[in-house]
Amino acid sequence: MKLYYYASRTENSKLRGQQETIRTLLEQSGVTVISNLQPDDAAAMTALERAEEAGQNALEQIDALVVEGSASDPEVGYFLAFAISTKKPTLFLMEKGSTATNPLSYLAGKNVPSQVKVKRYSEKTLESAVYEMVGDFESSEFAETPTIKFTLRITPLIENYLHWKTHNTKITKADFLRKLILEEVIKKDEEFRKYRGRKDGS
Amino acid sequence: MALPRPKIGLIFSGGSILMSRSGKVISVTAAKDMRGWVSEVPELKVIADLEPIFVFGGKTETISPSIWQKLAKEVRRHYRKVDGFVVTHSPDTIGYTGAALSFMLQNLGKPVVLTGAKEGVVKKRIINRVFRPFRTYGIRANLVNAVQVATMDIAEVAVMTGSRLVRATQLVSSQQSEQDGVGMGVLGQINFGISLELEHQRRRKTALVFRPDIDERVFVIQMHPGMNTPSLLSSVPTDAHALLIRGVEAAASKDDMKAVLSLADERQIPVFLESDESTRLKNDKRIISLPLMEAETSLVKTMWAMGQSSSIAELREMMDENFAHENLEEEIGK
Repeated sequence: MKLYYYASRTENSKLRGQQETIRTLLEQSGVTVISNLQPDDAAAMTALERAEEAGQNALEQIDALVVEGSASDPEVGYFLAFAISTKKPTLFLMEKGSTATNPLSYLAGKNVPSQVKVKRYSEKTLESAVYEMVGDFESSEFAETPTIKFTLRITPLIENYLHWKTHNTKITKADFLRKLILEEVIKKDEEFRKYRGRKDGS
Repeated sequence: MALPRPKIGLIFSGGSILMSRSGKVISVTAAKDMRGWVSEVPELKVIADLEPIFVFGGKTETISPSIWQKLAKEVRRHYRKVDGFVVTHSPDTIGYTGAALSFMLQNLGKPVVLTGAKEGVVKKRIINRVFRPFRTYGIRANLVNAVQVATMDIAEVAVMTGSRLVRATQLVSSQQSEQDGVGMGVLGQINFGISLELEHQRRRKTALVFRPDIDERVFVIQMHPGMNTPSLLSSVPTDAHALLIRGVEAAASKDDMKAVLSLADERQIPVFLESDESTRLKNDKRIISLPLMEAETSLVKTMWAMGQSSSIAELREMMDENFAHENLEEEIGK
């Protein structure tokens, strides 16, 4: 799962610390995190290249959004508008006691899709809020829906095999490959399962 | 502390086709459509308060210089009440409108961002040339980006095309320069969020200079090999106020240009010449040389200049002046 995390810009060191904590928690949960706190890292560059090739917004390459909006920052509204427009699973975090305006308050409740969740957090509740969101996403239909375009050049032998395996069946070559990767590669890769180990035990 | 909430003028001039949440195709063709349309894009209200303004709801081919003037007038009318403007527009002629607004609205202190969706099928050559990003970016994405830009620290007339914000007078150049890695005309990029390039006009407290007059009676002559000059010149309308000559290097013989200048002399009208050679032509008293500009921009600037003055000397001065970064030779040299 690839996630974009936007931390509202702030000079407040305590809030900045909370925002870094969120990033750490997300990374520890096993997801790939791209964030404005680290704009030039490899994952961000790859996503940008893929977006450029596909003629898409880079955020389209992302599976979910996390927005920390405790500081007054006009970009917070932008990311939330994008999330609503594209129905992207989104967690909007605001620290309890924050005086920033919640941009979603300008909308009637019916206009906020169910995929966009708002949580007021404290130091004590932050961790569970983040892990709950990641868990919800991974058990949702979004995690099962193939949304990321990936071009793979194959040899004539592979093509021959795929054709032989799938013709006269109801399964497409792409579905066959996805199933193969999930069941024969991912589920059997112990190291990957350890990498994705979380404090919540899933 | 909460920031003040921005207010954006959302001006409708076509290009507003979108799929409603219930699967119906809707657009704004009359003022009464605005309210329902805005309710279909509630996400925009997360960014700013919107002031919907209706100017035009017809088809692309019916957009004319009078619409450009109406757009400029609405910007002027609402200028003090909002923090920026978003103009919906069909991609087909967005270059003309963007250029027109660039000349009509000078000394801008806030942004005017054009964006929109195509109506029906856009010809392939237009898609491939300029508006390829519009194919993959729906109007919702363009609107969210455009409204966000209209709240940012920028004061230019620009076009939101997919992943980039481009200066209105450098729309085609920005596409071509991308391949060369030059990046001319690009004011901002959409990647994770919107980042503005360093070279752009920032917001300022200035008085808008409003110059909406335009003379659309400019007849364009495209010189080409094998052209039948007498036949072409006989089709110049009697009420043409100026000629704009293109392709002089490619095809104009001495006799061709002599015939053109003879007609101009007879009608007492100026000749605007897109050419970078032939000094002897440029010395003719009726000729006004055009600096290198994009095709849409040069036509619009010619019409606009004709609306400001009929004096050849003043027209020459206006064409030499780089009002809105339209002079590409000067821009490349920066």
